[in-house]
Amino acid sequence: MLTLRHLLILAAAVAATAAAAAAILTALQGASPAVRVVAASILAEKPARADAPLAVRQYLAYYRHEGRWVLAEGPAGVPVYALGLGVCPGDIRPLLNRAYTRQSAIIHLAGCSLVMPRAEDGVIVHYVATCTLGSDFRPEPAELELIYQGRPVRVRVVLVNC
Amino acid sequence: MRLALLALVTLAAGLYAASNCSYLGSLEVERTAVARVTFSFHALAPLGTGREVVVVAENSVRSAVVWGMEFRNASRLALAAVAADAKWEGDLNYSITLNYYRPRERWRVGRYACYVNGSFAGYFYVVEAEPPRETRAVAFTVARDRASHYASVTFEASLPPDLAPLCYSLSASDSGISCVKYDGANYIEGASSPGVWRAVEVNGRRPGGAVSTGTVTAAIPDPWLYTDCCSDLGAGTALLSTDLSSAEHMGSARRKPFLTRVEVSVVALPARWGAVELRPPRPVPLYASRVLQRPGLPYWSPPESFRVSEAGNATWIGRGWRWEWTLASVAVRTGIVLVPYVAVDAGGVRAVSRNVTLLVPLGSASVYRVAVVWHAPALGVWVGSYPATYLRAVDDRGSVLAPHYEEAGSRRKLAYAAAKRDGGIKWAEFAAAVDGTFASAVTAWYAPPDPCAQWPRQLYVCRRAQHVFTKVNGTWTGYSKVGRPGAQWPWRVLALVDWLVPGTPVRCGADSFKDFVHLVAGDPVLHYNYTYALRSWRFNPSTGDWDIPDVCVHPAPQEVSLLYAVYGTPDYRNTTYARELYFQSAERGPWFYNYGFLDANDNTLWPAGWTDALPLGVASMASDSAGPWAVALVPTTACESLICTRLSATLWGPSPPAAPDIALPGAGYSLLIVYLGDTAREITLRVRVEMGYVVESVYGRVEHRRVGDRALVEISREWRTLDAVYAGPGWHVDYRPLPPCGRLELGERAVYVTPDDWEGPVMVTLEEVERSASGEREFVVARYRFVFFVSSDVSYRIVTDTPAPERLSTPSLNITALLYVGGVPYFHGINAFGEGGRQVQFACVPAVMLAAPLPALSAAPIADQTSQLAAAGDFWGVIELLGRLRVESAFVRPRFELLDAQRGLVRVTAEGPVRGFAFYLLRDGMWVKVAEAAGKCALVNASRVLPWDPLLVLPLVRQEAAARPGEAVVLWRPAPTLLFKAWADAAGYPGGAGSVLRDTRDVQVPRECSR
Repeated sequence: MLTLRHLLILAAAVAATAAAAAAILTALQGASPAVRVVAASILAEKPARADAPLAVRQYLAYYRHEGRWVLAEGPAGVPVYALGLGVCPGDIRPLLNRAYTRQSAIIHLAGCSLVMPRAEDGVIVHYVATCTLGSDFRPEPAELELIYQGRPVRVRVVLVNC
Repeated sequence: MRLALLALVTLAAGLYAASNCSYLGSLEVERTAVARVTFSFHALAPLGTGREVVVVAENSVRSAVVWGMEFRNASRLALAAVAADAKWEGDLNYSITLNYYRPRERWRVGRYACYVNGSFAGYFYVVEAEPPRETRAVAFTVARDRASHYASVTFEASLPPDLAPLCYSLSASDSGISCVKYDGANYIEGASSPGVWRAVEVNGRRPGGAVSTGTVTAAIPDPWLYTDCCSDLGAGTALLSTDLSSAEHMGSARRKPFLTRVEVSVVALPARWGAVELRPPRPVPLYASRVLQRPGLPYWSPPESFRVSEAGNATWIGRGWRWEWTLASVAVRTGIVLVPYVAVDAGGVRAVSRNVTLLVPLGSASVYRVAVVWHAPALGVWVGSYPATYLRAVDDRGSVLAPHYEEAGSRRKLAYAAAKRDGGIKWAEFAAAVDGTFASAVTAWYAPPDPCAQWPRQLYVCRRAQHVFTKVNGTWTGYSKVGRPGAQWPWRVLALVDWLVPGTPVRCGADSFKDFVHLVAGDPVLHYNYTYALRSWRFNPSTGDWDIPDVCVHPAPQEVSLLYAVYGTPDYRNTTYARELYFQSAERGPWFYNYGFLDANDNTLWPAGWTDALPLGVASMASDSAGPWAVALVPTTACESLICTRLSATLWGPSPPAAPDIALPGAGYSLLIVYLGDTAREITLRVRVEMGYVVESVYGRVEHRRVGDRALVEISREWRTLDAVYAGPGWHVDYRPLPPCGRLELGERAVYVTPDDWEGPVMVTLEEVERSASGEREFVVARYRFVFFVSSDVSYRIVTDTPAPERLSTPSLNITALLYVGGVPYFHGINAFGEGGRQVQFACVPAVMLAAPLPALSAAPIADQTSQLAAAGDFWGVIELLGRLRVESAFVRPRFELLDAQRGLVRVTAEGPVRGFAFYLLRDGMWVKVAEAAGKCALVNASRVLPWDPLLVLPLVRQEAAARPGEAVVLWRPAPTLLFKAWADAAGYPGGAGSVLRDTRDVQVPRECSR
């Protein structure tokens, strides 16, 4: 229930801070090294440890197929999570409407690293955290073959136990 | 005083006599009781005027149970309706005169003690004085408007003292004590009743009025006399009975003693009575049908035998196909006589007898139910009838009732229409009326006997059809087909149980249909002036099938004796009796008879009203002569274990077998030998089999030898018709019926085994042997040959199914291979082997063999019960069962379609023969079933199925496939797949929570997926 409430708060925050989001891109700077390392490990599905507890938040987005897979605001498409580590903004709308690959999946902001869901070779990979604050991250992938709108697609969900 | 003196004398002589009595004094006894005279009066009325029917008289009080129904076993019953209201010409007066001891008066009784040879013999009482008598007349009056009346009168009377022994006088002498028994009693002096009187109205009917039931009408007599003494039934019905004497007609009652109870019971009857007579047909013989070889000559010649069905095969010779008749099923007369009884149900009163006469008051018009039931006294069973009971123009004495029916019909005294009936007793319904102008309605009835149904016990199970196995020039032939190209049916079944009469015309254009009872009992017939032009098919030498349309004409007249209806007007078309157009007997009714014909335009022609019968279908190998024997193969297993170290012969049902003449190579069989002869005979029977082996126990070892020239077994016993034995090498046991898959264990007995190096016919010879008086020489007096076929024409039906247990360890597939030989279900106890020689114990499953020889309109039952070999297991790679069958696997994997991520709705489908899905969650190290859905797909709510606790989806595969040995069969197997939520939704991924899937709420089968 904690997660559900958290997600509801997240959804509200996404809606309420649309205006503030414009400022995010201007804040593009390097995040702290510790957060970067954890994000890279999670992307590589390797365990990672942070010295100090990190705030973890999730963003809901949708992978939509428009000739190619595009991460969009939705609500159409396969719903996926983006993972934010550290001090992350309430809204990632400016980061949508594009496709992410393994190379481009990590976005570093000031004090925040985002692990974006990505779509490559018919596999959609996204990341789910089981906590809102953690220092010990153990990613665990699970893959499921689905048909979505008549199209076969594999969804790889990386559970980040923390 | 005289008595006292006698007592004194006896006392004085006591010293010398062997017995004596001593007077002990006298007693004063007063014994007054209340006596009651009761009076009851009932009136009866003609049938059809009241609802309740009562039996007034019957000539037997025994009862009989037939087909589970209780009947009075009487041949003459008087029936009448109860009168609910009545008006008489005047009051009806009944009176009786009573003579009795005056009440409250005393008796004086002397008491004696008596001795014989000095020992006490008891007290004796002698009446010394009795009360005076008085007379009293008691009268009862039934008012002129009463149909029933009850009344009672009480009065006081003195009764003789209740002392015993009570004597007039007592004497003791050398020869013993002599007591003259006191017989003073109260009694009825006389009685009177009105005798005969006129009815003005009963049950709303007046003299000369009409009573109608549907189509029949009777006139009430005028004058309408009622009586309590002198009806046509004879005995009076005003009865007087007391507690000391039995019932007696009032007019003849004289000095009837009573104690405290007098009953007057009056039944007022109509004076004039008529009769409704129900007559059976003559007894007919039982026919047993079996398969005979038919090398060109017809074996049937009614009434000794009838043709039931024929078969043959087509052979390619030179430049065309040539047809040869090979087999026929022939019904042969047995020595067993079927005796018809008439059962009747009149308003709930049921009676059964050879023939039944119902006496009913004139003016009765009523509906009766009647049935002919058949009894086989020699077998002690009742046999069935099929399909219904019909009115017949000829009775059991051979007299033609058609003129009587015509008169009755035209005067509206008899009405009947054929109808189909169900159940054990096939009731027909008719209405009859009797009155002063038509006092007796006579009817005769017939129901075709169906000996396959037997009651109260099934002595012998009929085989309704036998599949035809033919072989020409060493190769198995296909079956010829019959009918218009494109709508043909294979000719591969010989009916054993079918109607006998349709087989009687043999030559098209010359023969007409015969009446069965005319053929077997010589009864007269009517003639139906109609020419049947029936659809037939001619053999086509260029196709080998019977596909050339033809017409077979059976010229008029046809013999008939059953009637479709009785007519009120002389509207009798197309029929002749004594050369006049007389009687219509083949109305176009759907249920006159349970079969029909097709004419050249494919219109249904209903049969004429001939009597017919069904034979007892006896399973048998084909024989070359219509001898008194039938022989059938019964599958027999020799051992219980795989490695046969000890013989344990077991016979497998059904017996009689459904496939009596087909054997597998190298398999064990016993012979079922049935005697069908006319008479009981002492016969020594020697059985020989042409080829094969005997497996026997020699000094504790199991050995086998060729049959050779030695007889298989010799059986000496008395044979009665339908006696049967099971026989094997050197042994025979009495027959007992075996149900499908029933088994009879015989212990350590030798077993005959068919040859394993030969496929084709094998001859079985039965020899009737007689020995000379000295016993030195033997004579074979008769020899009968039978043939069975060794066949490896084996095929399988493979049925698979996926079990969905509550707890799943490994997904498995139940594979069942069912054995067919010659295309029909077949059983023998053969174990199957899987890959690597894994052995699977054989199983026997009941099966149904449909015997639909032709798309004929005969609605005789056509299914035979049989048994079938089933090998069940999870076979991989190979099934080995009378040949090798390769098994190839294909896998059915469930597919998941995300329909609505927000609601977590996933549609589960699979390709392949899927009947449903089962859903499992891992709990305590075991996959536990949480839901199951029956359908080709299912909707699953997976929003609470989490990746760390996935759901196992097991597709439930069910498949049927046919295969022959040597072939490969592709079997679908279930491949379980894991399902969990892999997308984002509002429920999220609560860390550490277990998955939840609620049956029915989370799993649904949409309508398009259910079947």
